[in-house]
Amino acid sequence: MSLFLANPWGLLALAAIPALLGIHALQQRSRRVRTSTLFLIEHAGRPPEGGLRLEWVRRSVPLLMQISASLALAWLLAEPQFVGRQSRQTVAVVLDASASMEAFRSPARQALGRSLRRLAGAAQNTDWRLLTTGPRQAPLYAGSDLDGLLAAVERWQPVLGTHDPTPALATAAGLTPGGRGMVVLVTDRPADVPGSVGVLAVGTPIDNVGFAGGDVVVEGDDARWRVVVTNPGERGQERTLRIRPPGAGASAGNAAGEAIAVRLEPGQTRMLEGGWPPGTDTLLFDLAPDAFTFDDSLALVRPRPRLVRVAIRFPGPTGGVIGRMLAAAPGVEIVADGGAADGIAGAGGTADIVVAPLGTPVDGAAVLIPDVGAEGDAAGPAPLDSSPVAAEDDPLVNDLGWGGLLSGAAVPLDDDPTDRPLLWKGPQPLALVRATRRPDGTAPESLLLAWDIAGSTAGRLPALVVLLTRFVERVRAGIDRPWAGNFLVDEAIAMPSAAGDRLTAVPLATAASGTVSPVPYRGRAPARPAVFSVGPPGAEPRLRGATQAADARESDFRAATTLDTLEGLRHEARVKQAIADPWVPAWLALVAVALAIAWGWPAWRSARARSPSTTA
Amino acid sequence: MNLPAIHARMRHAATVARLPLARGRWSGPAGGVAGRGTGSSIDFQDQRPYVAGDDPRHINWTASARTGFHTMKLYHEEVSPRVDLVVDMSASMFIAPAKAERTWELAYFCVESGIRQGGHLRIIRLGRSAGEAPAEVPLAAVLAHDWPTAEPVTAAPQLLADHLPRVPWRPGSLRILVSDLLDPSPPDAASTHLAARGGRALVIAPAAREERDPDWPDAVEFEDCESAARRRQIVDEHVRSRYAAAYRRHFALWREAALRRGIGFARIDAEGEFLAALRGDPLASGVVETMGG
Repeated sequence: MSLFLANPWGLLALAAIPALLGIHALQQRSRRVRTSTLFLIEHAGRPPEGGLRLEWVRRSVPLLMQISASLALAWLLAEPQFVGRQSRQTVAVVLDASASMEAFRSPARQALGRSLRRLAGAAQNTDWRLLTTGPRQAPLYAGSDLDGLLAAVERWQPVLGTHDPTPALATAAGLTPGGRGMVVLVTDRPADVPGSVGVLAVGTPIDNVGFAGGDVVVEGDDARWRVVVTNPGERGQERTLRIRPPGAGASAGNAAGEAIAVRLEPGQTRMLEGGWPPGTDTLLFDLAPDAFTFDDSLALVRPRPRLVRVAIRFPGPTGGVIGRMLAAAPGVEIVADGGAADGIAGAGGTADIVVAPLGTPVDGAAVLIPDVGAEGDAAGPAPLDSSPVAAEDDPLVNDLGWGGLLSGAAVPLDDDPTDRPLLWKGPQPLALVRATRRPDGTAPESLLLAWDIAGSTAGRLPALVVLLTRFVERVRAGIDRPWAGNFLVDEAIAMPSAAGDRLTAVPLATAASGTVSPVPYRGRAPARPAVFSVGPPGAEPRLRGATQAADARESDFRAATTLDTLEGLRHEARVKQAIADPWVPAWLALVAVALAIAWGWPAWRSARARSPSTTA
Repeated sequence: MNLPAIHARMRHAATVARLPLARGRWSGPAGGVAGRGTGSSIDFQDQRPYVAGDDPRHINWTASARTGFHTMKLYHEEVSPRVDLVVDMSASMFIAPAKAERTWELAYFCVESGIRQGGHLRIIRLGRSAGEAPAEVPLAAVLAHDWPTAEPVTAAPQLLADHLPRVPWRPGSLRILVSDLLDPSPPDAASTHLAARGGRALVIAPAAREERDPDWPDAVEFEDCESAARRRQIVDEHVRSRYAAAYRRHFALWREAALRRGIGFARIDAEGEFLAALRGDPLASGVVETMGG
């Protein structure tokens, strides 16, 4: 059982004690008395050992009573609370996963150590939970060992951009049921959180210059790099920018050029660019390090696109419309159809997507369109069907508007168990996705557009362009050819399904010399700026890339602040866990009795002293 | 202190009360008080056979005729009794106004009473300063109220037991000691010298309320009025009771020692009217007597 004071200000009542001592000392200052009977006094008592004042204080009954009353009163006013041995609480610590916290990891750990040890005093037993505000990040620690939690904090690396911590706080609140605990958000700037959440902000405004982004522009065989450097602070800054390929020292000049002095005024953002050195796949850009190193390095790889090859096997205006729409999508190349000898779309050819009439056998991805003209409809385009177009809930058609599509009735399609309708016109599917299962287990998808494209407004409908673009991207994700690109940290990267793929991510800080062990690829780019590759072990990588910080707001530390609102929570938690002093009536009685004695003692002693005495 | 006024009051008090000179036999020059020896008063004392050289005027002729031998009549001697008045002039005698006044009252009462009864007075001032010897104060100076009263503070005041032996007591005198006896001297030792050389002694001790029933604060720094020695003391009920006991015991020892040596001993309150105070312990103990009593 431990003790704490619910109202420590009540201890101010103890200030009455020196006041009482002072008043009594003034009242009872030792007086000098001339006497003729000193030899008799010497027989009456010993002189005080601790000094006259101390001895007097020891013997003064009114003073002792008043001091006792003051002590009891201070005790009462301080509202002592006792925390029982069985008390238990849960403290959920939520770390702000924003990259800006990287600059304050050490202060955060120290502040957490201090604050959490104090929070632990609110109950005899504490269960600790450590989470981050990252949406997909697993809890870092769960247990009853505070040192274990702090060790997990030591290992933690914040990498995300600005994000909403509310979901993580709600999750943490769910871990403290019944109010027997508290939620602590550790951040570096003011946070708008519910009142039940304590905030431990450990930030301070610091000067920072960093990369806000970068890319590579490829024009034919030539390429140029572009990087954006920003100074969000309120003071002008000057930094040195060095550019080097991986493997070259960061501190010396490099093959790509000499050091570049960069001067940035307060709030200024500058874009720097230069030609991509031939024979180099990757460039590393280093700014002179400052307190926030997360954005001081940037890597760019020369992009190697993953082109989607499209073959048009649909003569006439309909094939032309669809071909133009597909070509409008980025990374699409219209190729001559060289693989249709067997009459099977996608089989043996170089095209990734084949545009062909409905009914054409397919062995790969295809866009199949009804060949209305081939059916010899001399009457011309089919009459318009006024039935509205309804869209399914599918990523290919989500958020697209089909109200402007005027067409005839949907061409009847034969049923297939793999059909996934996208659009309906009346009772007939207007567009659907159909999978073709291959012997090797893969199932390329075909997009079936079951209406007369040329005889409708589809050529002017943006929704169809987007639908085709989404389909192209879906097909691109399944293309298994080496490619390279630049990504944001933690960006999702669509790759062909390959369970054995490994991710090799080399942090920029160690890109010069370090080697790292590959980890299973989880469909996302590395969470920190890095140069990485994805591919099967021991083989040529399917993907080479570089990641860069996703959110330039994380580089802005003007709003960083230090704040600690945990004390109120701690107090509240302790009050919930504790029981009040059951001896309050006794202390009140003591106060009353002590004051009564202090008040009545002088009169009683005077009466006793007035007892008659005679000449012996 | 207005000594003439005190003197005048004591001159009147001496008509109401007196020292016990009327009783006993005294030594001294011829006077009006019965002496120890034979003299020429009219008070018959004894008779004895005539021896050569006797005054023939005192031959008891009737007895001589009856017995055939010359028999002499002897009459009491009438003397002027020697009165040695020793006044303790230490600072403690004057520590409180009432006590100081009582001291002067006692001194002048003894002087006036001695004079009225034909006593042959010798007044001795008993100081306490180190090395100071008891000094006689001429009667004329006393009657002119010319007393040396200033008693300097001394580091080691003389004890009463050391001082009294140096008093030039006259043989057969009435020794009167006016002193508060507040002195660590053993009463037995101090009183020994009072009754030496055939004298009779009286001790009159003025007692002040401040000494008998002190009203000290709780924390006191005491300063001895004679030696200036200091002592810090917490005065609680325990100290008060022990002091009271020590005070009573001190005077009980004096009273016991006086009784053992036939010394008249009386304490007189410093407060109140003088004659009323005399009617207390002094009168009861025979240190004074009323006129005609």
